Amino acid sequence: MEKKQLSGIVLLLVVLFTAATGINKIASAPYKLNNVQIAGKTANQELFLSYEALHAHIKNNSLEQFILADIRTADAFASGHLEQAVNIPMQDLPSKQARRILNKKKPILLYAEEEHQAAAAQLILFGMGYEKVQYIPGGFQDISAFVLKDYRPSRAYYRSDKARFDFPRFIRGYETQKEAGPRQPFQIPAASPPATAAGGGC
Amino acid sequence: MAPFIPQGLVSPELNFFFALVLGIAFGYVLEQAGFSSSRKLAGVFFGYDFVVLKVFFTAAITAMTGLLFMSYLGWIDMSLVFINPTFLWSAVVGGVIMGFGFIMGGFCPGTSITGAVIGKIDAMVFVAGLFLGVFIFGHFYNAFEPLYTGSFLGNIFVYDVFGMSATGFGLLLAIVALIAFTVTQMIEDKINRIPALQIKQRPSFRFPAFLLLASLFLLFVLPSQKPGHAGETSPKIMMEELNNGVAFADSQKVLFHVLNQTSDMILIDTRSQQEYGRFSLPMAVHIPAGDILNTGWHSFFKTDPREKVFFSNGSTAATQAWTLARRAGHDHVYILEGGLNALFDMIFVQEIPEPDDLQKMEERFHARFIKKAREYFQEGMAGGSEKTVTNTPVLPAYDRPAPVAGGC
Repeated sequence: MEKKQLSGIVLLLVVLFTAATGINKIASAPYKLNNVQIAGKTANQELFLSYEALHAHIKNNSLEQFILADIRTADAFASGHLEQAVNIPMQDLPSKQARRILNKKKPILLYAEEEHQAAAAQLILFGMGYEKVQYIPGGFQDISAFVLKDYRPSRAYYRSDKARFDFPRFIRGYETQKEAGPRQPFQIPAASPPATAAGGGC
Repeated sequence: MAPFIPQGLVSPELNFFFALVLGIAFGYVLEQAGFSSSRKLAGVFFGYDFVVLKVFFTAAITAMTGLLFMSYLGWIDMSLVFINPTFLWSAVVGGVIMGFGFIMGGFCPGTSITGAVIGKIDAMVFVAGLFLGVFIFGHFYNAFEPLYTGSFLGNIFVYDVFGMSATGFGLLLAIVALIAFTVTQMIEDKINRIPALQIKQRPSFRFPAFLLLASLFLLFVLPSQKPGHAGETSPKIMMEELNNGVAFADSQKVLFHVLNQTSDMILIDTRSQQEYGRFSLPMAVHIPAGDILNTGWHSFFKTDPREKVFFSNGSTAATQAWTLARRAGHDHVYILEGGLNALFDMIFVQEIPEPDDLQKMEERFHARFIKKAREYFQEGMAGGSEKTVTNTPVLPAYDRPAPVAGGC
């Protein structure tokens, strides 16, 4: 093969790789951590701030150590919010303005209309590279009812992800099932063992 | 076809077709490159022709560079690519036997077939010897077995043993290859007594060599772990889906699935093992939120066409699971709106009027539907009976995608 042809092919490959890297960079979502790193992070830190701690912070006026972000809509924010909260509607969290407000060094405290929105926003913010993000359990209605208006120690660890009912009690035959032992949990089938015989060869 | 088969893009049967096409192409290229001549192969040992070494080393470096780049870009999952496990002593002994065969016959198994196909008698004798060897090995397998399957080291990598990165080793290997090419060329010229003038007129390969080294060096210095890659869902889209409700499956829809056991949906319980053990919806599969990323579930999420609905007591754990799965780029994943709390609230707590008293048709249907659901649960059809317990759907057992074996 002629030298020029070979050089041309290699040059073309390099250009293709560079272009691919560029396209990949543009096409990739702006994440700083991958899913596995996020999962590791969630295992290592307290994901939410209990009502007990929130109540103490409000009492001691120490909420300033957080960036308190209200991720509800502007309308909901206007009709009432926690003091010191800034309003960043959920869908604006990835925007540039939000990035300016959310400081990467200061811990972020989120709350939303409903608990799961704050929990999702937390994972997404972790992915975007924010170090310390916590959320306040429950929706804003729960927070204002159970912390702002009438705080009781019995609600110190309120979460809307707790079961409100004893589900099996609604089902007849539950008792007999209990005697039979708990249902067999579905297990992830184990990966097949590595091949034990060599294959291939030239 | 390694990454395509485990991903389900190419069926194992179709793979035979590709194997045939690739095999023919490989044989053709071997023959065209002159490898069907035993002189060419024996030349490596006598120093007059190193083309075999150059071709195989080039192939290895090219494939390596391609894989390193594609793996970096997230286009190929290296864990799905078959790697010959290492059996140390059988590799050493096999290598020595193969070297002897190489120098005596002037063929390796692949080139002997191409030689035999174009009618070379020495190649046919070699192939006959090959089958004789296979027969002896098979017949006395028991005697060879300890050596053959012993000293199993698994899928070890040279770079792991040396404690270096894959890209660092790739760069090193490319340098070694280029040095080997230069040195063997010098030996070849000396033995064949090529005049200096002819050597000077040869094309220089400095530029391609430089580009190869430069691209591998670039890969070596770039940060190794890329957090995001193409195919992931962006934060913006995920926020929008959560916000406008696309991410949710409502209680009624899920209840309809439970009552009629429709086949277009699969319920995934994301609560703790203990809670799942105590009670779960009929037909629900248990995947705690933390296990969503388990590679075992990857192909299930990628290939199962059913709507996958995550649920928890409220919707927090389910939303967390959804967030991880959705970001990984999985489609058809949803969250049970309000979780089990809302579902049970709808069935048992909310007042339902007698259906026949209602005027509007939709209200009448809804009331009947809820009534039926109440009966279904209260009659014990939803949890107590053994039938439901064994009804837990068994997902197609996840085999670690068996990477497809290959070889030259």
